Amino acid sequence: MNILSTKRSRNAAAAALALTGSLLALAGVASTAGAPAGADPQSASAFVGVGADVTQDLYAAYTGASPAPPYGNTTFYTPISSSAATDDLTIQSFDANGFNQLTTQASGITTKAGGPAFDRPNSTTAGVAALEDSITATGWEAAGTAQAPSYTGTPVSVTGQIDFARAARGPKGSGTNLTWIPFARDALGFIYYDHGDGTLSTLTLTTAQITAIYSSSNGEATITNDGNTDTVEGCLTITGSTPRSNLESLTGITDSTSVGYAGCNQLTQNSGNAFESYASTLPAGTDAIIPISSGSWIGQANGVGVDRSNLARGVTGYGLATIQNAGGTVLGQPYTLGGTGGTTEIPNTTYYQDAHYGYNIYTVVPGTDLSGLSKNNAIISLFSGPTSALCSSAAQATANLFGFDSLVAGEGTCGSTTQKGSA
Amino acid sequence: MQSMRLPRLALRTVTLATVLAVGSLAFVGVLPASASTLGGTATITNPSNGQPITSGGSNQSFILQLPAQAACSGDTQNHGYHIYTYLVPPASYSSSSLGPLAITNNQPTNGLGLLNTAGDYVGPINTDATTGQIDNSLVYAAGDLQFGQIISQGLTDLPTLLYSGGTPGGAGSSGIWETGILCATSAGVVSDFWNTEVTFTYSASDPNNFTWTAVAGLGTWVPESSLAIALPLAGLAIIGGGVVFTRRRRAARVPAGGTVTVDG
Repeated sequence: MNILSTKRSRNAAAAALALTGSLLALAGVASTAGAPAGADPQSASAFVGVGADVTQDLYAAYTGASPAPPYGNTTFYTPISSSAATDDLTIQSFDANGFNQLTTQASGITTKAGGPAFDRPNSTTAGVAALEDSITATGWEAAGTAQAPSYTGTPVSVTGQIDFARAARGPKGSGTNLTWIPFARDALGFIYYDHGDGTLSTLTLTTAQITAIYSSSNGEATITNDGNTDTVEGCLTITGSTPRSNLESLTGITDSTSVGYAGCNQLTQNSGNAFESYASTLPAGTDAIIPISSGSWIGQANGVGVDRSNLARGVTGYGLATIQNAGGTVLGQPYTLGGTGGTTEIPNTTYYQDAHYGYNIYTVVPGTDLSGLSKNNAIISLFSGPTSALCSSAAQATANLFGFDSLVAGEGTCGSTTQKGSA
Repeated sequence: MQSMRLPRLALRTVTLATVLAVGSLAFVGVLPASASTLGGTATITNPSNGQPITSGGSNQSFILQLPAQAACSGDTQNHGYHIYTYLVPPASYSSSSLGPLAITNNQPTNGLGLLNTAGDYVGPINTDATTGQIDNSLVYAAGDLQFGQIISQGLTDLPTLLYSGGTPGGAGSSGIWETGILCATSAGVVSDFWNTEVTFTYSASDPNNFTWTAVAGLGTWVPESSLAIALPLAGLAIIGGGVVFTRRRRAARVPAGGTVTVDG
């Protein structure tokens, strides 16, 4: 091999190396640079919510479809989004229960690509707790009880996996990490089961009677109406659920003082069917009641939410109770009938505006999203302030359709950020 | 015999110096010493064409490109690691650990971060499952980055950003900052980071009154440079010393007649 051929050979090798290096470099750029956000689905950037089952169907509508597929009978909506200046970001919402499951069944969710599977929060309380854990670097795990079994069996870090919680009650405790942002109003209702003699179906249920039932040592009381006297069992939804929490607020009783009737004190919330499954076994002369979100009942009845109450709607012996508040005012039933054909259930504003039976519903976000380094303008655009997406007339109309009333003076301001808490 | 020992000593000296020099290179990140990457290189890149950019106006959109297969020491799914952005002035921060910066309540404490085009802080972001790799499609899912958002969102003020020269925040002022991508454990401890050094300079014509230039990597931010440079220099000094020592010993053993005695 002469010198010239050696040089040529080296040059060729160097050129080949350079070419290979360039191709590798370009391949590296092409594989990882790209325009990241443009072609990916909205779910890649959407904010994730968990928590209350009361508003899960409404939030499903805010994501674009409710009842969310694959439940069927789906109506599609214009999703809510942040402003154009904040990149039009959307939300996605994970129900309090898995598809066709109860909130009392263990279920896991993975909310973001690359994230861990963690216990699905099955209530307002659980959703708020998980959100709090996500910003305090605390592992989240369901309570591990029969009503809130753990899917993972161990605490899991949920940092960065949850952006907001759906809440159907106000804050508890003295913490300040989280901000409750009200946007509409729900009301505490009661499904009754009247075992045939009209004691409950013709009764105007008073706050005193409700308190007597749930504060009794065995969770039941006798009620006389129109000459009939029945035993009425006070059923309860699962611990931490919105109907139970709001019942406790109404009556002043707590989980430790209100055990409910032993056979029905941990029923799936806002499920007329779960209540019917129990009540249908009661002997003659025994009736029952259970608290429910009026909005959830109405949304289900109007066919816009997943129907979990068809066995207790329009069936003899079942209905939503007419209520008299502690001041003696008869509020009526939580809904009136209207719309085309007079069959659409519409929130009864008198009932919803009552200070004790009505309550606000909220989006809960980390306080750090609203100011400081981590201020999140897209979150603010979606939820915070009277001009936010959730307070827009379109979003409010959707809320009304799902059984929730818009806020009026004295109830709170849509988008207000003054309420803090951590539980 | 003695004359053979001298080359051996020199050889040992060279070996030791080489080990020291290689060790020092590994220390500054040239060689992969472990799974943890501290002081890796981030390159400011045009998101629309993937090409590096070294300067721009405050509203220039960009992403931070990391080396291929850049990964956190652990993944999100199994180990609780997350990806964050950071922005710090070099004076008070260690280029080998980013200390005293840490993550608390999902944001940097004792430091700033980068905001996307929506004006939102970028972090915490999940790594890829299992590999812990840093995936641009996740990091920039909600938007590309803009330095101008730091001022327009009130993250800091112009005098703080342009802290040097002239009137801070005014004509003639500038400021060197270190910025990039970091990984943190579930406890908020920085485990890895990739850096680019940015100089912000006052500009009356820019919407946010500053422009920027960038140098990928640690740039001038090498307070440990004395050690990083001293180790290779020490190695070279030992080599040189060994050579000199060897020559002197050899010269000392050569008799006047010029005959070298070599033991059988």
